[in-house]
Amino acid sequence: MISNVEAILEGPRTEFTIFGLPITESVVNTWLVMAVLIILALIFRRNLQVYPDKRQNVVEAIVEAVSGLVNTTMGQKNKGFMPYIGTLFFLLLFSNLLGIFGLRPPTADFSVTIAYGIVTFFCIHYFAIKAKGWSYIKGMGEPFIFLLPMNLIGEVAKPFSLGMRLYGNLLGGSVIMAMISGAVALFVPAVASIYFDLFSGILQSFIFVMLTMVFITLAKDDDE
Amino acid sequence: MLDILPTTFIFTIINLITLFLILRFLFFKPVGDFLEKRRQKIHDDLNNARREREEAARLLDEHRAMLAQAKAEAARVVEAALAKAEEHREELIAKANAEAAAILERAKAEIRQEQAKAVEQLRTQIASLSVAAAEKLLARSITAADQDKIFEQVLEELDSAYEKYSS
Repeated sequence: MISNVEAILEGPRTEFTIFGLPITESVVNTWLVMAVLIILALIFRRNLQVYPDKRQNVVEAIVEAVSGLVNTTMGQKNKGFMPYIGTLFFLLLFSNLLGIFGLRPPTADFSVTIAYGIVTFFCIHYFAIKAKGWSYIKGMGEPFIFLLPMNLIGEVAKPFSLGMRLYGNLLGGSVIMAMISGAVALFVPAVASIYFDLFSGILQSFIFVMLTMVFITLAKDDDE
Repeated sequence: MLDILPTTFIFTIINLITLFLILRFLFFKPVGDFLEKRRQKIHDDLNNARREREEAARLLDEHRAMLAQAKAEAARVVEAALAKAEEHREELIAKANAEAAAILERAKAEIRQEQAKAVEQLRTQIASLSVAAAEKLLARSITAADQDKIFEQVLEELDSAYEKYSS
């Protein structure tokens, strides 16, 4: 059982290589999650009607919840971010919940989470420069020019804090679950899993998405 | 543990962008458009309903006003007709009275005329009869002068008798 913990700490296995590039468990599991999400999307979006049935009520509740979150957090004028935020949320959520099925969550891999963080980083600065132009770059040197390094470090820290928070929580959760499973095989892992896999998984995807929205909105719409 | 594997890093970014494009095309766009369209439809329906209700209330008011106006008009027409009928009736009565008076007057005049004519006829006849009776009595013909004299006399007596009778 200790070997299970060690396997998790060792990092994701390399499943196979393409042109000498190692494709790890994380990427393969992400593909699995993507396939599941695409199939769910295909099932749920079929045959939309004015008077919804049960299935459509679920779809509408999901979409309304995501757009409600985007509207309240980012404001009505940024509702165009809703598809991206929705995609990110469900990708992270399903990735995090993969631990329940005994698979290694892709988000327990720093190479994955830092990639999500970097995408958010580029989103923040791309939309901010698009919205404010030169004054956004100049804003980095405010209120005093000698604070420029501080501001830059703060900006660079954002993707790392995002990536490390997600990675740390997921890896920690996986390790603890492996240890609990190793110590007590019956019942206890099931209860612990509710917290470490389910609750933590949902919470961490929510936090990541929430921070992404807040960062983008602050950089983009905050008055100079 | 914190080392970054470039392949995983690159593939993760590609995965995220690919999934975003696919889900946007397959799910978020169509469902969002659908919800927006339905919201618009509900909004329009509510607006239409309100507009129609207002229109109905306006029509109802209009019709009520028209009905009241029509009632007032009808009452006015009836009143006018009654007044006119009354006027007409009085006119007719007056005309009938006048006509009756005229007829009566004419009848009286005719009677008077007839009476006068009868008296005159009677007078001449009585005079001629008197002359004829005198002739018979005397058994001879009377001269023209005597005849005139008797005539005059009879007529005078007749007239005085008539006057005494009629007065």
